[in-house]
Amino acid sequence: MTQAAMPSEAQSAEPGTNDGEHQQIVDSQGLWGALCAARDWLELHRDGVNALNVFPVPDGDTGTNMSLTIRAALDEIGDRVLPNASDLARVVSQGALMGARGNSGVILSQILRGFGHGVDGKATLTALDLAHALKEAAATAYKGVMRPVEGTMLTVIREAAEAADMAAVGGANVTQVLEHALEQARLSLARTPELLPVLKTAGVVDAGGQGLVYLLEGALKYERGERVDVAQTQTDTEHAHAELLDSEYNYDTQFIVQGKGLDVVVIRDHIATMGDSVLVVGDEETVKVHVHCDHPGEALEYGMVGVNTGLISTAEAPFGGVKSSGLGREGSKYGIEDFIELKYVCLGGVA
Amino acid sequence: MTPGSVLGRVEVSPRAIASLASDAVLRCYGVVGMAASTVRDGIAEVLQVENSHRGVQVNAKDGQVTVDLYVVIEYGIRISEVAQNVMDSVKFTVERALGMPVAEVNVHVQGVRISPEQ
Repeated sequence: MTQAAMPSEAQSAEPGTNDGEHQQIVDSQGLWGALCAARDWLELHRDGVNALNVFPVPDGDTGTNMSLTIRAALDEIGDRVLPNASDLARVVSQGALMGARGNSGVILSQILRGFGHGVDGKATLTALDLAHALKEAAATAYKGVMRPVEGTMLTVIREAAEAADMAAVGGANVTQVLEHALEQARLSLARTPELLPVLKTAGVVDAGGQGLVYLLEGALKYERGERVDVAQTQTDTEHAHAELLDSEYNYDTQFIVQGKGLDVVVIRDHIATMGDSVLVVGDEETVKVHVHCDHPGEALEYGMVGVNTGLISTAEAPFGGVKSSGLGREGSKYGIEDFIELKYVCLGGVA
Repeated sequence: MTPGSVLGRVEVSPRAIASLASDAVLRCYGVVGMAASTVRDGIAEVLQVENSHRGVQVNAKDGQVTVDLYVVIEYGIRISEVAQNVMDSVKFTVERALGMPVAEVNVHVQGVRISPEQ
């Protein structure tokens, strides 16, 4: 998963070779560099994006899906050197189509497809071309769904593209267009909880929108000649993981509690007594927990654990929970109490 | 379908589940419409939004709910991935609303819509 392992990296322009001045034109090499930087920057923040994922299904994979999609899109280039921005964008959008993963990945593939369509026939891009391509990206993204849900990455790309367009028409150069797009994307992202109630309840912004903001940030960093260094930068969750090294607690524990009438605040208070780096988000039926602690079992006992699934009530499970079956205790530690045995463990020499 | 309660029974009709499911499907990215389950003369009939529940078949046998969805997908999107997203989303939405597990969600892609390029 390192950058160096990518065969296509050879074609990547060195970030920092830009003269630091505002760019007036983007050529194929510049576009490739910006896309690579966007990919790497998102990759760095992948876990943080995952942690935000509560919509449409709270399965915590948005960051991973977007990251895999943009990676597949750029891998499509392979060893080819495409001197033409239009050709590059077309191949990238083809790669995104074939490599789209998950809901956010599918939307991202449409955004890249629209972008590719927007730069069609252009060897290099001016600020106006870039803004036009972003608008095309937003329009294409909206075409792919019957009932667009606002407060998602659709809203973020649309508002960012509108800002880019206004800036470009106003005579901004490429870097400034990107700056305006990013600024608006951030504002738009901050508004997502107002548009989509499930985000507000969970106390998060939209995960896909956040992923998009990271992609734009990465591209802008490249345009500014800043290096996106995977090793050098620390991010939210990575930061949390790094904290684990300094933390007095040993285990990074993450799980989902499912049930009815769950109280996020009560759970957060309870979990907070067990360790640090506590992150508890969710609603009455699904709560996501992240904690660093010494006794993961203790934290897990608070609820039941679903591995690779958020839905743990099935007909096969011993505690029932389907129709009138079972004890009505599913989703809690009491549900499995009858199926486990307590064991007396004597630790010598402790006192 | 009868989720249990100590006071009595709650019955949920397949039609209600179909409405729930079709609403979830239409919010799924990549789906541009529901289609009738039967293909007439080789042409899938795209349903109006208010009739979209007709693109859903709900079966309840032995307490197992299975949902069949007949959809039209936008051209140029990875169909397998959209279908998978539809399954996840419908399963999640219906289980959440119903409080009962959904055994199967089957997605039938009845057609692909090609949007005019601008």
